[in-house]
Amino acid sequence: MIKENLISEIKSIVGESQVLTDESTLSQKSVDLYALRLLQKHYGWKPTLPVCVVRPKSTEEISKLLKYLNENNIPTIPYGGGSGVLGGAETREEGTVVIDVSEINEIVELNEKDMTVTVQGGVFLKDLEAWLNERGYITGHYPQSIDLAQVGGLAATRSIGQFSTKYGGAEDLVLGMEGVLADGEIVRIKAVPRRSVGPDLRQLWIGSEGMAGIITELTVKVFPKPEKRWLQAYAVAEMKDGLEIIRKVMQKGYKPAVVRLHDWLESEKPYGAFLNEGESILLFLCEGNEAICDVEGKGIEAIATAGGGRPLGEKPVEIWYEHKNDAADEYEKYGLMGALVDTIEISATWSNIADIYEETCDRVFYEVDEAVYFSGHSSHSYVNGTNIYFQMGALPKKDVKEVERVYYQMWSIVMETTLKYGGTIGHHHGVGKHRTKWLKEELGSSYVMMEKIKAAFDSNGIMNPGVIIEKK
Amino acid sequence: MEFVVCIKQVPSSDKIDINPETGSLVRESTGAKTNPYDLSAIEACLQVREKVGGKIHAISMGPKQAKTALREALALSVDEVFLISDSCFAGSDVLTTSYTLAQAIKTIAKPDIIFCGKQSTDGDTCQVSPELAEFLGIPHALYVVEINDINDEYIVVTCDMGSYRETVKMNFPCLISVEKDSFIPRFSSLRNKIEAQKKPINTIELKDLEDKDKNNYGYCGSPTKVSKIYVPEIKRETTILDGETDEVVDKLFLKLDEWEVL
Amino acid sequence: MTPIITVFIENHKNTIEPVSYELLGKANEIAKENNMKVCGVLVENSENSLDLDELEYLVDYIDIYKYNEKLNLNVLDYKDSLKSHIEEYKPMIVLVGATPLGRSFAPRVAAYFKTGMTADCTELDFDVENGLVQIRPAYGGDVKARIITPKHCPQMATVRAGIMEKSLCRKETKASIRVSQVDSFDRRIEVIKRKSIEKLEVNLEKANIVVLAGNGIKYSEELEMIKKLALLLKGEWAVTRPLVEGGLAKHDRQVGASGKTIRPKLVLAFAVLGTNKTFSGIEKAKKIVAINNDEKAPIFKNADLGILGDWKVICEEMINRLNN
Repeated sequence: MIKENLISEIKSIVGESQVLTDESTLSQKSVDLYALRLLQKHYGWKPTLPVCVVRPKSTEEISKLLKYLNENNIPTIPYGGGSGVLGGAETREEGTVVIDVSEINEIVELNEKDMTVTVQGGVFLKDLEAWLNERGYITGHYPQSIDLAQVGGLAATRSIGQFSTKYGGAEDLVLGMEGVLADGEIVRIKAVPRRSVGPDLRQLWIGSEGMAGIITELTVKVFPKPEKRWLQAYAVAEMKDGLEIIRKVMQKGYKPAVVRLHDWLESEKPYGAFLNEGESILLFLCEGNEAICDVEGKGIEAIATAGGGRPLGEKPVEIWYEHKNDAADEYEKYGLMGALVDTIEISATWSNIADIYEETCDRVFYEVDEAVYFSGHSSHSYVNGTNIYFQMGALPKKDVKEVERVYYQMWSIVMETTLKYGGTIGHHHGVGKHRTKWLKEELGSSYVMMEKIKAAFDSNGIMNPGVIIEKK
Repeated sequence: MEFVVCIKQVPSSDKIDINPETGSLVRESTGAKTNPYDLSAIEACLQVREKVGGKIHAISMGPKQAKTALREALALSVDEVFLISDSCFAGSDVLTTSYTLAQAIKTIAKPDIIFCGKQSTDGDTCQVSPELAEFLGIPHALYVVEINDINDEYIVVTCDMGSYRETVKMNFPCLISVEKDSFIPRFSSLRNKIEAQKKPINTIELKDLEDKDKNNYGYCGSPTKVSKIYVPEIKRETTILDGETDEVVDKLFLKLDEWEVL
Repeated sequence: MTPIITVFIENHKNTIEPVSYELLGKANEIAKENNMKVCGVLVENSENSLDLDELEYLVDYIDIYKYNEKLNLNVLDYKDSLKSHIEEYKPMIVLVGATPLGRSFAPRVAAYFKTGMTADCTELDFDVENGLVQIRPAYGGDVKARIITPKHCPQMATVRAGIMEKSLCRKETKASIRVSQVDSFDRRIEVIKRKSIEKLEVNLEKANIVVLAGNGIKYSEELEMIKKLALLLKGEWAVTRPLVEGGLAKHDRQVGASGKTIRPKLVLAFAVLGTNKTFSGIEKAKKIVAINNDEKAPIFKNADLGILGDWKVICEEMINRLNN
């Protein structure tokens, strides 16, 4: 379709002022925080620009818009806060239309009796949290992207927050929702505490990354502001000692809000004053009901010290808390210094997680000449296992292709090792357009289900092409 | 040739709380990093070693946690590191710090060049390096932005002296203190980082120094004393403008007119 | 014997550095209140010879070290001269401007006499018991420290330019002048070349209006807006420390405890948090306007006018109006 016609048709649906075509907006909304691009752009990589960025003001407008785009086979990418790190919101095809949902941003209703809040997809999490705080509640959802992310995008990427061990991830928090399917049909899933009426349809949306439609409204859990917090840090000799302590804490039934275990490389700078050389650090934070919090604190203390943890007091946890979102700011800085910096989060059961961590670190050490940094921490734990969040830094030659080669080399090591030990290749950043390469192996025989879902909900394949499932 | 690089571990953030009544620190900052200016000193020294060859000794005065800074130096491939640490070095001011460093350097090596960072991010004074040079009786150059020439006998460097630039030639031994932006630190490789964990860190205590009189070190030996720490008073009364952008900016420009600043 | 306060008079191309005048103002104030004398020390080579007309009435003594060669003096020559002066005049207090030159040679003098030296004082005081009281920002500038040198002589301090009020209060009698000819150079440092640099673009100290960008500003495009506004206001732009550390601006644009101290008519602080360490760099401004969307930002306690809102929106609106 001729670009001008497309733009004028879209303008007739949402109004002239809601369609942006200036270069700066197009370029801004053509990418997210995909680490590969953050460095490549310094060496001449140029984004593919969308035709336009549309800002619909209502679910009905999105419906009309998608109906039109679907009928005309126009590739369409929903765009939220743009904080994704795997290129999920990246424009890769000429002729793409980006739908920016940030003007669908009302906080609809707080139901204090049910402890739920209903919000539109374009509401910034930061704003929702502040709004709830004024009323004595919290979202319990604190991802590092909190300054940028919107709730619709968070649900669409199966986000998780740093306090997830108590409050859960997106899949636990969303009770009901509204979305618009690729063909423009508006569908609503009511908010109830539990249901047994066939497969859970919410879960088709949570983590769909725009491959099937656009999330326009969510009803999510809220929590009371915690009465109390209990903090404690421990030094452990090695990662596997720390992992054992966490396993026991989780399997004893405690629900600390934060459980983190950082390896020596990550610990030496922020917590060096508390540690002996080479030690890892364990951080616990419990919060909520005072009586429960006290019991949890005592229980964790007993397990941690019995497991060889040396108590370090509250201070390291305070330091972590204060700097928990700093990393996001560092990305740009390292990029300017020519360094490739990224994070890779995987998870596995307790039986496998230590092997994955150790073998991955070893392989990067021996195989990647350009590596300047490689560390890991566990930050989201469960009764049956935990995640490892690897942080990598490399100094490739200043060239678009070389950057990509080193980037994939490091990623491949993590993905291959994780798959080898039966872990999952993505714990909470989603698939985007980057992890698709390993998804077949990840899903194995169930990959076909993913293809069928895509085909069922988006028969023309217009919705965020290339996300989750590689384009054929 | 032989080189010494002086490095310091500094708090990674300088946030502190202070009790305004007693003036005492309520909560000290604990995160630590290598003084970024000193990383530039290491970089300058590495560049010189690449040109003329030689051995680099990195030294750091501080508590045992300062080992981390020395590990970082090892990861950047300095040859040998020394932690200058003794309970009686605590509370040193500029003079005793420089004196202790001078004493320590004498026990370690006969360096041709000593490299320092321009300043530390916690003290911000730029004074230790000239005082260190004085105690060692060697010439120094501060604010070095460029190393123009180096050979077996002398070094030529350019210094940024604010309103002018000065190029000086110094014979060895000498001390140079470098500007941060002129020697952008390189990254150490992951392998070097991990290998550095296994290398020894030598320790220098009072008993290893030539001058063993503890009255010349630390708090006792420091001529300056901090008599009081206080939170500066706030003197202004703030009017807050709130409202629509248009309105606020209107009011702002009116105020600026009233103050006659435009 | 009447105690002496010595001020190092920094002479470049036969012009006295402004900071030396500022120190003389302070020295005379202390001297007057405590019945002391003020001495100016000058170090010159044969090509430089300051016209003493003005200085003569600002001090009680002038002590000149005159090198008999055309060669540029090096840091050790300055150190030797001040050292000789101290040995002969035995001043109680020695003040040096915290210029790159002063910061380079004065600490060597302090080390030579094994005395204390406080760098970058922001206030100086005197009390009978302790003598010179040196006040400077500490712990990154969030707090101030009062520092004394109770048992060592001389008591030394450096002060940065622009901090003390310049005072030209003239004395009734002319200073007595002593000139020492010096023949010996320290040859271990040779100044090969000295080149003045016109740092035209950064003139924060002289600007009437300074637009200050704080840590809320993270990208160069955002900083461009600040620069644009500064240009339209015929002022200068400056930044706080995080922007320098983040590589957005050079240190010569930095205001605060570890940067410059400015005293313009107006500071427009955009997205500046306003910790004490930043504030110590702008506290001498006549008026401060703070624009920040965080109502808890400490800058709102320190400004004359506070605007609660998105700095970008306000900045853009100001640019639009000034453009029209």
